[in-house]
Amino acid sequence: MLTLLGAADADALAELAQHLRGCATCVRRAALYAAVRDEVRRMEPVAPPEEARDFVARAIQEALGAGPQARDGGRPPADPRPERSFAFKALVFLGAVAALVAAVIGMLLAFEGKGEPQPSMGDAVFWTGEVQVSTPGASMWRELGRNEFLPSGARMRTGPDSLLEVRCAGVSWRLPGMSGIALEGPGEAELLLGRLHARVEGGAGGDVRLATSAGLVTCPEGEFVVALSMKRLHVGCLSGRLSVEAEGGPVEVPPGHAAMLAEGELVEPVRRARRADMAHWLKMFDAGEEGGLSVRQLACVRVPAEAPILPPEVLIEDLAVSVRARGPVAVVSVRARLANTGAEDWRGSFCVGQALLPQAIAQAGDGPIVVAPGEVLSHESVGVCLMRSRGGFFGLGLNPEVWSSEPIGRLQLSVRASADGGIDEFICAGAHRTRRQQIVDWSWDARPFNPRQPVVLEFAFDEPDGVDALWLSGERGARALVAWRPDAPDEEWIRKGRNVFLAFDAAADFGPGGRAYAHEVLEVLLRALPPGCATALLAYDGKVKSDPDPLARHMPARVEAMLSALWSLQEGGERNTRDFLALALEWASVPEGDGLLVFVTGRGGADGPVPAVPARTDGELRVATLQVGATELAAAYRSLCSGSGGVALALSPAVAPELATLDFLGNLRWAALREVGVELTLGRREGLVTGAARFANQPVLALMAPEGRRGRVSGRWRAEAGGERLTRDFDLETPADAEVAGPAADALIEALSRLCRQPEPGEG
Amino acid sequence: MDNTPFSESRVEASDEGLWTAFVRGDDSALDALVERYGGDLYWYLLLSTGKQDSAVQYLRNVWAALAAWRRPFEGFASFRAWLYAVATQTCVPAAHPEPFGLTDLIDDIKRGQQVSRRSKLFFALKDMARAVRQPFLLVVVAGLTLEEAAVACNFTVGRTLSSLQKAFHRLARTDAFSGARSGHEM
Repeated sequence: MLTLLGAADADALAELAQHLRGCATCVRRAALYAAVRDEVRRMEPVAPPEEARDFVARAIQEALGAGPQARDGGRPPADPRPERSFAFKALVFLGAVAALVAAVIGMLLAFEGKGEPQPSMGDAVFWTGEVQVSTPGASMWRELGRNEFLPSGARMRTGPDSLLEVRCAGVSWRLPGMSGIALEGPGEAELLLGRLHARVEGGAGGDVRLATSAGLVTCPEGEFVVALSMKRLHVGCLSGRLSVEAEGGPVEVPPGHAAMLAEGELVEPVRRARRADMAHWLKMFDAGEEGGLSVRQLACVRVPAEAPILPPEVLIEDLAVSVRARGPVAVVSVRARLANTGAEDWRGSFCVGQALLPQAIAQAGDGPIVVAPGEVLSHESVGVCLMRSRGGFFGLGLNPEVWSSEPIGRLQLSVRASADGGIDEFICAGAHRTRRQQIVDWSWDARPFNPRQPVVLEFAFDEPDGVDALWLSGERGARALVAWRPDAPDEEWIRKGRNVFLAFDAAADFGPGGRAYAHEVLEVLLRALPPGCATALLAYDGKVKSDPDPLARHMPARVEAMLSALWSLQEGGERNTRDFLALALEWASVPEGDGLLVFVTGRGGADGPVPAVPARTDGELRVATLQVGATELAAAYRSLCSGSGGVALALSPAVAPELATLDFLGNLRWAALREVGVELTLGRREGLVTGAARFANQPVLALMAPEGRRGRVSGRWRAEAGGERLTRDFDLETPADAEVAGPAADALIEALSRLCRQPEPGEG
Repeated sequence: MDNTPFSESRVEASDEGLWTAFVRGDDSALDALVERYGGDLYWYLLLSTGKQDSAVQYLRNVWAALAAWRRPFEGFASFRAWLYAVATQTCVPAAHPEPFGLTDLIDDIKRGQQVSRRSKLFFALKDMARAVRQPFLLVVVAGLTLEEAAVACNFTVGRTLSSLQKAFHRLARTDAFSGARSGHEM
């Protein structure tokens, strides 16, 4: 190493030469390092941009004009002193800690109890995770409490995986994790660190002002995002008007545009926003460790506030919601007492899982409910949940908004299931876990309840055979519902070495806002792909553009390169979806080995017959289609994809791209199943047999009529995926503890009967 | 830069001579230094930050800091060592280093040549910690000695040497230098 650097003296070189004569390893290593050094030095450097020369010259002139030592009070611009030893650092650290403790004690003594009463500057309406507050006169950071009084000058900060929303005078300040804000007055705040998203309602009484260390952001009305990193200020205007007052002069940021400032000046002209510039509330969070969203992040998925169920003047005095879940089947009971003075007509529907999913598979009990004055409302509904899976766990989302609008009084949420069903009991009001510890995580906490935020539970579904049964005693007889969630190989489609081909039809019609949404989906998808696979990109924007480095190993830098290529695509190219799909199929069929083609296009069909997947002998090509902006999936795409073991999805911009991607990846996994079936026996009677099913991460259901008798459910299920055939026998006691009776059972039976009769692809 | 004979004679002047002339009041001497080091320093800053706009900002800051100082430099063996020490301690301070970025860089690289090799170098540097990356860049790209790089980073010589070994080892394992590996490894 020393010789490489030319730093060795003669004695050292002689000693080294002696060593090298007997050490082949060091010889090889030295040669290798020298080759690396020479390779780097041979590279042609990137030249500075043209404007850099003037930029530097101007700075020098300013510095010279300011006179010597004007900067930093005469401190040299570089410090030649080497680092101190560990012992020295430890000593300094201990000294600093002692001084800090003394200062804190002194400040506490000085300020304790001397704060003047001030009006509150806002209300913390929602938070989760670690959120701290520091108010003037108290000096120390402490955990944010319920009904927290926030005077002028109050500072708040969020920890990792935390969220905070503060409302004040028509402004909602929303902070993701690792951010801080100081409330200065009505409509006035300072971003201390990190990022925030703000929504300013019209008529808030003048401009909302957000101070930062890099400039003052003002907004009379609209929605914007601000990120502060070091001394760089990144602002994006989602709607309304936004301006930044900086040293270099005012900067106007129109809707849909973003600007970056450094040291008071624009780094580049205001440009159309891209990527995370226009991050909405959800996108302000980083993805979880597994590439998915944590339950807290899922809980922040906002559901459109359409048709509140109860008029705002109606108060719910007590509300209890219980959920009994057996695998994919959940029974939800709502019990409430209204403080109403007249009869209320409650026309809402309760759809389990709606908060997380585009739609539930089945729902029941959505008829109007008339509640007399003072009457206790009691409503039971049963649903089959399409639950998102994350790392082997399953999430159940409940959207409180569907049964109430603000204010809501008190919510008690309890979840109960039989011993083998995965959930034992969960009571939200007390925010405690039960002994069984089956619930892995939840978004709820003993904090102010926000009806616009869904409650998300994540629980382990660890029953060995993966079969659940529910007993339904309806007025028209009893039924046994057997739900089976077929196994699929973990990450079957993205095994290491698997090729993933991404074809983006940029000339397609994505509908209003759909193009930007398509980019968001692509970005999330690219970031979700595992590093073990190889990726290739093909795009069409009027001209076909291919990846210069196809099937390179997928890694973060590769994602950035692919995103850059996607951003550079032109808009307004002539549409030619069918030919591009044909080309993409051909392109993805050439490399050997198994592959997945993800065809991203817009709404509408392919303008003609969809080409077939080319036959191959050296591997399997699965095709997936994402129709961005489409409300309904084109049948031709569904047929093309399902025939190849892939999936086709219609993605609406209303669904967050992260959730759309989760759906896509989850469905893709289950789509690997080529054949499934179950044979059931209830007592001595043969039950219903389901054949090969259309899978979209949903359970296989069997509804059985035992002629009024309960019995034992036994059977055998089988599945085939990726050439592997699985068979397993099961034998269940009739699940009396998950019994559902009454009208809800009838409604569920009816809904499930329709579901069980769903035709197979290509049938009828 | 201008092409006056005076300027041409400066090309042959040493860095230290130019700095001394600047300290004595000759502003054009600083221009000559900017011209001499502008490209190399920008390349070093670009490799250090991974962001084009950051590199330009820091390029400006470094020269502005030197212009404002206008005194002899002390504690450094040469002007080059001092210049890169200012750049290192300005753009990648140990306490709050800016995250390494690639987005802007890729746009820049796409316009240039040798795309594959150079971009792979960036990707390899991105995965290195600041304490490993900076000594490597100072020695291999900026051409400082081990001792000068240690001073620039405020490291001990031993720590700098250790960091260099790590950087070389990691780069030698990357695809960017597979040719070097196959050509030299037995």
